[in-house]
Amino acid sequence: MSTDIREFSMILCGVGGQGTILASKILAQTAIRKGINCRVGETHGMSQRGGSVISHFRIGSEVDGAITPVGHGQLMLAFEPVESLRYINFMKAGSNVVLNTYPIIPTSVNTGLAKYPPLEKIKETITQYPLKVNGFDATTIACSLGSAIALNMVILGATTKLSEFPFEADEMKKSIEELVKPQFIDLNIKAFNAGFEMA
Amino acid sequence: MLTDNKPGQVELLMGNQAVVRGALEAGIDVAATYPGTPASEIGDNFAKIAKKAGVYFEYAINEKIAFETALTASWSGLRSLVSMKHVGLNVAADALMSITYGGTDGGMVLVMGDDPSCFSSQNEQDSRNFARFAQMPCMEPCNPQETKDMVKYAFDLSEQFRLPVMIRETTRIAHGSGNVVFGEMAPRERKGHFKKDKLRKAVLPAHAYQLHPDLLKRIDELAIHIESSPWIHMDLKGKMGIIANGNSMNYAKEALRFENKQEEFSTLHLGFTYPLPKKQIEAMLRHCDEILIVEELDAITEDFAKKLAFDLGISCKIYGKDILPKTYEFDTGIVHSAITQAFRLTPKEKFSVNYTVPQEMLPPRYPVLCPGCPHRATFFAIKKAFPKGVYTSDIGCYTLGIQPPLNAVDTCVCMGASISMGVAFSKFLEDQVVATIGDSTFYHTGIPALANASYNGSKATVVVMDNSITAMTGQQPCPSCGVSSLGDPCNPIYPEKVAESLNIPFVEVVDPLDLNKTIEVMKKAAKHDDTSFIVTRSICCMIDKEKRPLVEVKKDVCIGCQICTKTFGCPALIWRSEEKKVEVDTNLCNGCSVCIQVCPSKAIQGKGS
Repeated sequence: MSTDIREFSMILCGVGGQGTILASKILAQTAIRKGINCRVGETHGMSQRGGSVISHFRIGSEVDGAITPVGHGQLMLAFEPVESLRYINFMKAGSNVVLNTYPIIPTSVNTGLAKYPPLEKIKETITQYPLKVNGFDATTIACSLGSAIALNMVILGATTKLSEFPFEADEMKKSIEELVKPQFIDLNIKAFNAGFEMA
Repeated sequence: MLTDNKPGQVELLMGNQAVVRGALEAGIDVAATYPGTPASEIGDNFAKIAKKAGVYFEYAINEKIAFETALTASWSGLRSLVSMKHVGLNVAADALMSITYGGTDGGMVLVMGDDPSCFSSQNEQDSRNFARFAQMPCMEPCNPQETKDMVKYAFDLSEQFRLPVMIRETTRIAHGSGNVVFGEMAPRERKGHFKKDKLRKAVLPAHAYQLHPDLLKRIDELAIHIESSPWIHMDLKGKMGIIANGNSMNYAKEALRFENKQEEFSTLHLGFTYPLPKKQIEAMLRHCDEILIVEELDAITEDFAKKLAFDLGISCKIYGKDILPKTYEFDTGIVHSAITQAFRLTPKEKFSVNYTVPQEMLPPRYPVLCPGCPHRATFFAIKKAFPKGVYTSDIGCYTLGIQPPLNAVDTCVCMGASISMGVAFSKFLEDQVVATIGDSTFYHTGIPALANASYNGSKATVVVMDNSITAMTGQQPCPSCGVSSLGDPCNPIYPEKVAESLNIPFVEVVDPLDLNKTIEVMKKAAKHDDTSFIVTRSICCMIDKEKRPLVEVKKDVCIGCQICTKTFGCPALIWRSEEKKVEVDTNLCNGCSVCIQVCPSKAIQGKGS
């Protein structure tokens, strides 16, 4: 895909602290370097404290607002299983979901006020929408490389393999190098590659 | 990057960064703020570049002081910017409401972070009302590029009309990022100079009486001036019209594009929402048969347009809040549905989904205190010492003490109200009352309430949860942290010293991570029948990244009582219902070790011990 994109919208969702903001920044940096009009809409503040978070990443000549219109998301990056369901209505039927299968159990479940649904049931619900699930345990891969924090890069790597994704791996890695603190570049690139190779 | 003098360079900027860049391009001298979502990153970015750019910057103790600092800069002939969240202006309003009369000298810009949908706020108040209330211009950008350009423009406008200029961002603008083309940086050569003018600068009754007509005259002139400004875009086409301000026009444009109706609609995009451009609104009313006014929250443009149509005897049908909601932020789908309803169009595009995720698939995930947060330990101790207390609290991370299982917050109204209301409750109720407030909020507006407690008497226990930072808004420094606004070391101001100097009879400091000691101090305070004041001091766990040994649950010792998950509730403690044991998520645990003290069966232990 090149600079003649009209409208392409992605949803990144997960739990505060999982690195959705950095991931959307890396996407946006790549778009800007390529001279593509882009908008990112994020959640900051209170929701970042372990709450549910969503970032919108939108590119194209026909994009004005920072939020994806309901039913128009073309790709979802779900950093946590149930969070994919919370924002599923943003998605266009038939789109891909890159799903981290490692759950973060909310306090409502630990205190016995709610139940965490089984992973298979979550995948089934996504499929019924209908969306295509690309599920894998990005957290465990990131941990094996040195830090759970790098799970966002694992997910970005896996996403870059998808045919509808607008950027090349080299372009993404350049943005990672530009935006990540020097001491963490190595780990992040490794995590990106791991995701890319696995997908 | 923000300070690069490379005109034409394109960068990814968040709206709040664009504010800073625009101010630098206007040659700003002074910036001040009190952090508040969604405006916090304006101050954070000023703090980063202030030294390099030669800008004076401070995190003031509250918004009123930030505003007065910026005003003083203006009256010193300097260019200044003050930023705050919408409710911050309630605190700063005392100064704002009087100074528009006499007006400003150096360009002064007030950036407001409004929060439709209450993502991080206690209400949805619409700052455009304040612009009208105080009689000052209000501008609304629709993207980061416009934000930068408007801020730069606002400084000139402020100097021309001797008024502070409000730039109203909403959360989507403040926290929305996009491409920004840099302009030239202005050189900064101003030196502070105070021009004495008692009539304008001392708001005595006689002066205000004399100045009020002059203010209204300036606003009338401003209203004509903005009609030819670059921030009013009118495009007269078909007989159906849309008038929208700032970000709302983005949604309207996208909705029209999805329906392929761009050529059939006339549009008026308002970058000024106070005063409103009479000339263009009249032109729209005369040109169109029907107009939909798209504005989030209050019906300000709609009321103006309806009044104008009435005054001019124009019969154009005006839709607005009869179709669009008065609450929450909009999106393309909401505006699309309003357009199709108002103009009776058969929609081609759909913005709803015929699929509902079953409720049992969506366990709630509300924000909670971080794993290792010292506030959790303080709340746990409060609940032990005051099991039947009335708990007043305040604005900050610790408001999250309201969530189960802590349930340690009963009231939260506004900055500082924990102490004033806790003190008052202690006189009106038989119950024991505990007020919880953070260190930054204590300095913001808590101190006068504590002075009032000392002067007028109280039986409340005031707990300052001192994590030595303004945590919720992104870890900005504050007086208790020993670091200046620009990151240089300075002497911390201790809340306990303040309390002592206010003659509070019971003052104690305790480390909340030492749970038993904290409970003991709380119990002592509970027996005290005058105001008691406790500082629970432990640095914010997002700042203190020191590696501590993590904890683990000895599965053979854990009896599955769930006291840790059901009364303490650290997110790192996971209940495994299938084996009826608790487990520690080592990715989340930060080793604060408070849960070791909570566990009655000693099943939680230091890892490897």
